[in-house]
Amino acid sequence: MPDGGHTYDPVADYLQQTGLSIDSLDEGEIELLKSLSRHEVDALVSIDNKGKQMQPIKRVGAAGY
Amino acid sequence: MHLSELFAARADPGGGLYLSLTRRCPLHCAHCSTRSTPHAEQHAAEPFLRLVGSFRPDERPGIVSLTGGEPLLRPRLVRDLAQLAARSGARTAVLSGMFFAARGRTPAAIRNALQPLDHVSASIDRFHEREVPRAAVLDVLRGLLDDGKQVSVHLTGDAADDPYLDRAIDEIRRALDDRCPIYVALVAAVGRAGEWLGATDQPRASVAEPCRLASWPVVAFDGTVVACCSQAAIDGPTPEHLRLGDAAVDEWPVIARRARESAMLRAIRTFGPRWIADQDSDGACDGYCETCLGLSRQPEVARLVDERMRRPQTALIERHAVRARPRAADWITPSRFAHLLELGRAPA
Repeated sequence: MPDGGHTYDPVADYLQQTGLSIDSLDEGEIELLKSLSRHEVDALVSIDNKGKQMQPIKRVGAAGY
Repeated sequence: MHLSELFAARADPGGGLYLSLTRRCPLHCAHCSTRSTPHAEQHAAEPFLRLVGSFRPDERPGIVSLTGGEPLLRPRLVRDLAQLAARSGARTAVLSGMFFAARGRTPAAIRNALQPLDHVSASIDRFHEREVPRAAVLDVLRGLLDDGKQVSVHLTGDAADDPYLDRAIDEIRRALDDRCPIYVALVAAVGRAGEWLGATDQPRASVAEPCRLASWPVVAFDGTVVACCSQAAIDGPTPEHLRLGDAAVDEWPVIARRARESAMLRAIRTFGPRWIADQDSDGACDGYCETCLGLSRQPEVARLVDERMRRPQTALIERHAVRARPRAADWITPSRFAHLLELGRAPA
């Protein structure tokens, strides 16, 4: 997928950012990953690293929970 | 029902329901997130009873959490709701400031209200303790434990290293023989505390920040059913994308379907509001919840989010977000107190 004048490879970017190997993905996931934008790949990686993203945000529910 | 079961279900969309039974409270806590007073608004009982009466065994929340204000100011309603919920298989919990404990006895109406509940939680913090002594609350909890009731303490401090927390935890554990789980939280700049406590810095992540609060619907003080338990959303005006219905009109299966299936809510739970605003709007404003509240201001955003959530590749991201939902202990910050959630839990 073209991105900023370069060819962006979402699968390679995802694997590079997560440290996973291609074997950890099934064919269906690879096909879906191929059509993600850079922003979506970044979102997916951050979700996979959930603790780092959610912890600093202070939110309080109405019931205190 | 043990407190850890409540937290384990906390991130499940529609898995629970909060009922704000009243904004009234006889206490005057300076940190009250709902700004409750003795004469604040209170909705009629019928919409709450109607909504809980619409639960079916195959379509109901797992847990109904009765909150306020002080929900035990309406003991008959608490009892009726707990009994009604139980008919469908839903379990019921209450969070109370235990105002009655200060008088050294539990009134009969409140004893009757507590009887059908599956969990009773008491708030203890330095603000509550100005009006209700800690020892009196622990006496009530001890009596409930001895009767076989599952109870917990909701303990609030100023900071992770607040010595008040450690002293209170020691006393609670000793007085209740480690039979009572403790949920430790910190005062946040919400409600009355927002008048004297500086807002917590919310560092901006450059990527997705899935929302954890848009999961259990809340019936607000006026009967509006809100998708999120953020106090700002409940105080209103509730933006269209967070409004699930009206307890006086809508039945639970409709509310639950909206909570689970709304494209905007799924996007908020997957990406978080600031990511959505960056991608599909003209950008996030400063705050996390503030950005969310603004998402309905541009009608175009709902259409773009709807298109995004229909794409098969988004389903991949959504599946990962579902897998990454917090476990029970993940809700406890500061995390050094997370183990206290497990106190009193029977071995599996």
